[in-house]
This record gives sequence, structure tokens and C-alpha cells, in this order.
Amino acid sequence: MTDSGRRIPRDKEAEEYAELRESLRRAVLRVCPTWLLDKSDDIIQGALMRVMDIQRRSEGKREFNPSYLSKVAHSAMVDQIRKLRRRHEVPLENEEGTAMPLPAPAVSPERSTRSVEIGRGIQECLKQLIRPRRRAVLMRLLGHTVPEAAERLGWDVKRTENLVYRGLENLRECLKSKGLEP
Amino acid sequence: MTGSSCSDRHELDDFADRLQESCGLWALAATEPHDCPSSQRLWEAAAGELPPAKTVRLIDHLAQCPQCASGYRLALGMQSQLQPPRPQVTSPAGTPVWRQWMALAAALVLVALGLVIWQNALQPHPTPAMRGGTQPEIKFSAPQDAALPAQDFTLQWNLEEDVLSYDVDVYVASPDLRILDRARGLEEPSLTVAPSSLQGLPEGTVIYWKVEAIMADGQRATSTRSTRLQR
Repeated sequence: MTDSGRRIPRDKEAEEYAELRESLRRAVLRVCPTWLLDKSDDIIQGALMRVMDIQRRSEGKREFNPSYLSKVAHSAMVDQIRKLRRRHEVPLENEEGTAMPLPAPAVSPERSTRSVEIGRGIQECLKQLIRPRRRAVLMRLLGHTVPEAAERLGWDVKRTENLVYRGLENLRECLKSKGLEP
Repeated sequence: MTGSSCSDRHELDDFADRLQESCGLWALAATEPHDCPSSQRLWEAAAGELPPAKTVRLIDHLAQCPQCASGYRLALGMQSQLQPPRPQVTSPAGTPVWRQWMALAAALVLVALGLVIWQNALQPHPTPAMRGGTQPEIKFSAPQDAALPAQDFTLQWNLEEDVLSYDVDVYVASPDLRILDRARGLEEPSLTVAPSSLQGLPEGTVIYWKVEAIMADGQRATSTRSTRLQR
């Protein structure tokens, strides 16, 4: 039995291999965004190959905890996102300069197009914000709480809070001026 | 905006949550990549393991690079799955040592200022709740990898929060990824997949359920569960 041209070990090793694959699959699928779901098998396989490689180099002595497996799965996901970027470098706009829907099977073309438009709007509007507000707003959009953002940026919480909300207000006005109201 | 009211902030939080959804798909947009950080660096930054100066540099890159921003968000999501929920007011694990010492020094100053002020200073101050902080937990009725019969392939869950609706994706990941069912705006915490959607899948197939709860305060909670198909 082969898997991408690799020989799968037998008996106990095969069992460990299956467990490892399942752990990686769970780590990936727990957070995999919908637009990346159709690449999840490639991601899992990429992560598995990395782990197997490390295992082989350590002559089977290396043990993998959930944190390490998540890190490997994350690395494989980032690689896949960067591959998608390379693949879609050219065809984002048609001749009229309008954003074109991207091939993301799990997402409707309308939603995809709209999201890309909004995404571009966010990027342009972020550029217009004064730097501290830009950083604060981005931390918010990335999913951080105000205290987390403050800690990571080395600011105090009150200042961060003000920057986040003032920046969000600027961002909302800027997007509105471009006809974008998410 | 000076001294914005709670309702303004609530609106801005809703606005930011809606933008976050777009940020995901935004990662598919083409950019001109240069000097992208390694995935390891993204992971460390999301975990708060980088000093502020390096984090600032990385954040400046993320503002121009939606793919790296997406990688950062994924790291944050994976790390939150690994860690137990933490209270919003206390410092998360991995706080640099110098910060811990500063906090200790600050506490000692407060003691010197007197018991009343000190007690006041220790009161937890309300901080705005944002997505990415402590996430409410979705509890499933079936344990992980439980077998469910194809004729009554129903998953139920529960969330002790004021939930507006649920979005659910049901899919198999192997041998090929396939969406079996998808529901949006469910009011009840339960979904039954029609037997016809499960046709052709062998006994024991692992099926994943991704449940996203949309709460009245605009926050969202997501959790994934796997079950096995029983014929």
C-alpha cells in the first residue's frame, strides 16, 4: 500500500502512523477556514510528511505532543495559503478592473468577490490610518482582545482601547466613502 | 472620537466582527509578497512570544500581506484550542519575565499607597469583550468519535449563552473532501443529516461537524466534532 509514493510502515508503526494522521487531521480541521477546506487533504499530507521526516531523522525517538503537531499543521496551512497566492497572482481583475471571483469551491462566487473587494478596501483604508491606530485596528481584526493587543504591542490598555475604537471608526468611514459597507 | 459611548463601541465591535469574516477570504487576493515571515515567526507572534518591537514590525507587514495575516489568525485559532480558557483580566501564559516583575513592582507601590487605594486598584476593571478572548464552549451531546446511525444522523449541542443562530457545516475529509450538508441560521441546537446525503459512505466513516454559534452580543463561538457513521 502506498501513500504519495511512500511506503507505510507495518503493524505497530502503521497504527502509530494512523494515529498521527488522525491527530494532524483534527488539528487542521478544527480551524481550517471554509475557503481552504478543499485543500485540507493536501495540508494534512504535507504536515504528516514533515512529522515523518523528523521522526525518521530522530530514529523514532522523537515524541510529538499536541502543541507540536498543531505547530506543524499550522506551518503546512501557511504553505498552502502561500501556494494559493502564487496560483492566483494574475487573474484577480478582469479587463474593466473589476475584482473577479476566485475559485474557492466551498464559498459562493458572490461572497468571494464581495470579500475580496472589502479586503482590498480594508487594505487601502488601513494605509490611510495613522500608524498606531493602524496597528491597533489590525490586532483587533486579527482576533485579539484589547488587553492582548496592549501586551503584545507594549502599550497600556487604555491607550490601546482608544486607538482600537478611534481606528475602527476611521476605517468604517473610509470604507463607507468607497461604497463598502460590510 | 473622544469618550465614545458603550453603544458606539458595541456598534464598532459588530463592524469589526463583520470585517473579520471578509479578512478570511481576503487571503485569496493576490499581493506582491516580499520578506514574508516564516510560519514559525507567525506562530511565535500570535503566542505573544516576541518582544513588542518585533511584534510591531510583524504587524506592519501583516497590514500589507493578507496571506500572512491569515496565517497569523490561524495560529491564534490553533493556540486557543490548545489552551484552557483564560480570564480576560489576567495576563496570559508566556508573559515576559520583565513584565511580571513590573507588575510585582506596581503592586508593591500600591501597597505603599495604602490599603484602601490598594483594594480599589485590585478591583477587576471591565474590559471590552472581543472575539479571540475567552470563547464560550459549545457542548456536544455525543462524545468525540461516537457512532451515529445513518437513519438518524442527528447531532445536538448546547451553549449556555444568549444565542441568535447557528451555522453548521458537515463534511467528510477522506478519501476526498466533500460537504455533506450545510445549514445556516439554525435556531435550534440540532441538525439531522438526511440519509440520502450519507449514501455510499462506508461504515465507520469519520464525519466532521463544524458548528458556529452567533450570539446576541455579536460574538461567535466555533467548535468541531467528529462522529462515525454506523450502518
